[in-house]
Amino acid sequence: MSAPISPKKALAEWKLYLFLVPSLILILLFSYYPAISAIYHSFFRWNGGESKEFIGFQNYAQIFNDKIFLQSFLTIGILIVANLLKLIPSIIMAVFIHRLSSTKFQYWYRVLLVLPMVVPGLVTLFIWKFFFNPNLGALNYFMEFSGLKTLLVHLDQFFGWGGIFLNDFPISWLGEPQLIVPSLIIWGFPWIGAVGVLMFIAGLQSIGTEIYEAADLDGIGPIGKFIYIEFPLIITQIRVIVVLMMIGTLQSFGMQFLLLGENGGPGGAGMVPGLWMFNRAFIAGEFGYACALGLCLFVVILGLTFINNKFLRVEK
Amino acid sequence: MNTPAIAKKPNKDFWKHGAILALLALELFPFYMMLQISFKDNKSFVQNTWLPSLPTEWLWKNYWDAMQLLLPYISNSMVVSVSATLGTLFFALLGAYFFARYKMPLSGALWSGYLILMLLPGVANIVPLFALLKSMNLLNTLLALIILGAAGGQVFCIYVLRNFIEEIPKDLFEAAEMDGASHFNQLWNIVVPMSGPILGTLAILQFLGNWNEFLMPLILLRDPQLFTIGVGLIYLDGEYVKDWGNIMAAFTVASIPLVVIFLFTMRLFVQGLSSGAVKG
Amino acid sequence: MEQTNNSRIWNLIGLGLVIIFFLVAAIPMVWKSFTQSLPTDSKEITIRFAHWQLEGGVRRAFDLAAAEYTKLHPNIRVEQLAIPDKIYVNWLITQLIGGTAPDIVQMGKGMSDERTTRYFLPTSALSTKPNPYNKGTTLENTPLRETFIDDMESVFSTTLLDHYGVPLSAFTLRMYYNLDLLQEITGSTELPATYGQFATLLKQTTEFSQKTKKRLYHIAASGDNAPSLIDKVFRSQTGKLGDGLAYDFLPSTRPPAAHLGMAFANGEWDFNEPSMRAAVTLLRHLGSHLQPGFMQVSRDDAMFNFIQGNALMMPGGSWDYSSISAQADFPVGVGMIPTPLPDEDSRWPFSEGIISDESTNASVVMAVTKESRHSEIAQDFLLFLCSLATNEMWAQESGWLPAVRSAKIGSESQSFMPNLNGFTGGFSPGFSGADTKRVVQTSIGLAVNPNGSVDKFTNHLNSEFRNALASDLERNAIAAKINSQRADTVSLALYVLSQNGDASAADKLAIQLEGMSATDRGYQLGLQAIKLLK
Repeated sequence: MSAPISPKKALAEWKLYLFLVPSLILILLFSYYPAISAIYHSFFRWNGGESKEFIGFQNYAQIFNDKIFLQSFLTIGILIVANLLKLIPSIIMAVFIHRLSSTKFQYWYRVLLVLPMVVPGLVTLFIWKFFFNPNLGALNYFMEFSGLKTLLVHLDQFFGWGGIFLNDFPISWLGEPQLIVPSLIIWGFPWIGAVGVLMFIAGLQSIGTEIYEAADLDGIGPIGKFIYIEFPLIITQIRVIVVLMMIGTLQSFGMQFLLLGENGGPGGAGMVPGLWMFNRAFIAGEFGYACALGLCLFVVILGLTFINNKFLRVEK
Repeated sequence: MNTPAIAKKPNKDFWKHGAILALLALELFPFYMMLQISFKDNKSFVQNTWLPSLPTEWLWKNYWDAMQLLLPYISNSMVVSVSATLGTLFFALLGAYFFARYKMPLSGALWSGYLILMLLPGVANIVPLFALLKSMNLLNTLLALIILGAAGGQVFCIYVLRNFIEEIPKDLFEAAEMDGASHFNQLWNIVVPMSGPILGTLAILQFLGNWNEFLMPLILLRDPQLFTIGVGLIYLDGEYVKDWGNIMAAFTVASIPLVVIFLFTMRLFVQGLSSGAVKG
Repeated sequence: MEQTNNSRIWNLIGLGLVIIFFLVAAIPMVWKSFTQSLPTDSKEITIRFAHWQLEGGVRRAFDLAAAEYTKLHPNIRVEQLAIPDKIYVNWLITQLIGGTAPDIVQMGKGMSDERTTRYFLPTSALSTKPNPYNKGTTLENTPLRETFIDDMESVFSTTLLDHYGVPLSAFTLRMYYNLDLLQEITGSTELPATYGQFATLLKQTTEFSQKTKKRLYHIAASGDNAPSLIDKVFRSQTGKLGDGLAYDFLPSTRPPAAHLGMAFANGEWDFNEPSMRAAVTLLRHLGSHLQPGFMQVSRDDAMFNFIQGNALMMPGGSWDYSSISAQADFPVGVGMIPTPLPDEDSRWPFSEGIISDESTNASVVMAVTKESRHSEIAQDFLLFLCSLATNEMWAQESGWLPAVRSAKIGSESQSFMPNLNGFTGGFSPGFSGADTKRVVQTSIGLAVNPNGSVDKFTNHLNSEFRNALASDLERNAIAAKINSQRADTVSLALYVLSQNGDASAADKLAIQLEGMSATDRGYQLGLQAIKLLK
């Protein structure tokens, strides 16, 4: 911890404050000021220029009636749950690597793992967009080749999904409203995140070999080892990642914007809160309303973090 | 460091290796596609979708076009990312030193000020940020991106660096102080040498973050000469007539700088991510 | 955590590489900005113009025009900015608000009345005088307005009472046919002229693909070209929808979309009207031959299908012709989009006949922004662009239709010339405002999908259209209020002027004011009024 200091000495050390000043200026100007300005402007009808008209809480009242915004939370809720489930492959990968006997291999596998992270995110995004292409995309080729498509066509007729999967036509992943959310979930298969895996491996490192030996003596199999030894010890990491991931996903809209366009794609199925905010500001020109939306989003994130923290602290 | 060896029987590892390799192959599959398509043109891609074409048939022209298009963008991204990273680290180091050295009056309040920022959805800020930059005449400049990058990285870096500096034994500082070293000297001579690895890791993370940024550049930049790599790729995606070979080559070229840097700083990357992340 | 010496060296090399890259990138940049900030004695001025027409040929044509202009004015450089249309709207809005907009901008996407008056200079003053660049041609003494095939009607804003921008091209909508495939299917290359023949062709195509087991798209539709087809479908049936409604103020013409919208809001008609239902039935028939999920198929994907020979036809605009003919390796036929004739089919009994091409389909409207630092030069460049010689060259190079009268076009472009014989067509619900457009376009699936139905569409729209209409009309009302406030200032000031005796001075001032934008006008008159009232 930082050393305590007597007020007299603190006075003598006043120059230390100067160390903080540049950083403070940066965040005050570029993080706090915009935030406060956003709150301020959320009470106006503002088109981004100089003219604005004070309308009080009208923007907020409008939010309650804004079906699209409210629905976008549903969409992002689904995505958050999906992201939670997508942590599983990372955990599995971490356990596998951790249990290898050769440290050299462990190192090289970790390197290979980090490699996709180094490629610019946009490139990965656009390659996947290409995979989703109905005519040329790898995904459709795979579906036909593996027979999954015929299965889906049968299921379609059985459940009455309405002709999303038809025999003669390629599956339009980003074109059918009902396929959009599944596409967003499928994106990134096999869902191994380098950061996650590395974090989990780091957590697993703290387990000593004696524990494994004891487990072997007790005759616990590999799966048992996972449930009783490894999982409880990486729970803290998982929690941290979960919180960060939820906050991040709630705000995110870049992927939806680039894959689906500014309206969230067909039927607006891919509209997420962040994208709607962007849409209102930069397409419809309703900057004031967008600020109000942003504030709502902030409150939701704050609420979720608070709940998460309570959850975290209890267990610690 | 390295995970201690747990499994006693190396040959039992075989299926683990298999599983890992399978997952890795799936993970790296998109990039395999990217590479093999980049040497074809549309017609040959349609004919031969999955397998790479023969080296004699490779279309180097795709790469030539891609480089002509992307090099200006890459150099812009380079300038922005390096400058922003340097800015971030410099100011964050100073700030972290402030918090870690002594519990100065008000430091508690100031610290909370930083922590709250971790929760702010950046999304809400885009609009007023735009207005702010306009009033500062910084629209359509790379400087704006550099400043934003430096400001954005403050919170995380100060958080990590503060923890790190606090771990440094106090006696080192006190000894230096008794020798008459100013705070800046203490920072320079004690903290910096010890924090090489962690600074390196933070630098890499910041650099990556800045390199991948595309939303603010898209909104702020008008002149094509100023585009960073993110904006360039988005514009490429907007073209009507898509020559996929060309596009994949462009993607590859866009990835090369980072991959090269990565190859040289591998250990730092991997180790740094694991250990730095544990603290987080 | 120690690092081995080995890895340390690697790290340092990595760092070194980064530094080298950085210097290589940064130094030229710093050097350039340094030399540019030094005062140079060459008074080189750069004019920038932006547009979203990434079609092949257009950029080339603009480059040629820019080069020609620089030949005439050696110290002026003209730079072209081509923005992908997907991001054009938010690009434009951020540029306009941020004050960094280029000197000339293509209008048409993301425009509203408020944005138009706020950011753009009107061209009304220019339109009454001849174009200096037309010297030596037949249009030498013609006022600019009349040199265009539509008399600049397309760029006249009825709410703002001003012309904004100049059109550079016109477009028509056509159906492109793969003539090789057509020959295989029907044995001839004759194109269908009416919807009845068209429906027959579609049936033949279905039989053909069943026989040959070849997967064939009947119509390669996309979210970009389908709305124009759908638009024609609706308009072919709803011609008489507005007759006799309370909002039909001028019985000799058809009421505009907004009036029909108001009639809907007042319950005078709804989507279960016979003519509407007929339109949706027709839409459903047509839709069964469109690519599934077509509303979200992108323009290039539909084009790709057509060019690869997987589709018999594709609706498109005259703007697509150069791209298609360059890439297709089969002969391409161009035909009118078929509309039903009266009494052709009992399922859509309201058909009036062939719908004509509108003569006011101007496109590539370029306007000068107010913030431009070289607005006069920019306006001059615009005049250059729409002169007979340049527009002719531009049209021939790009393959697009020219906007200037008597400009000669290439022979391939002949089939795109507007057909002005026919009916004007009726009301199409999806194209008036942003929200109604969104509602209709996202609901097309309800009508067109295999499990959709006429009822699903009409019922859905009956419940959703009202709200969307309300928000569109509200937005219009707010803009109109602001506009009329502006006009109020002008009227009041003119009144005050005339009351104070000097009628001729008021006239002179009025003429002078005609050349200004509405806001500036109001301001000037306000100043005058204040002077007089003192």
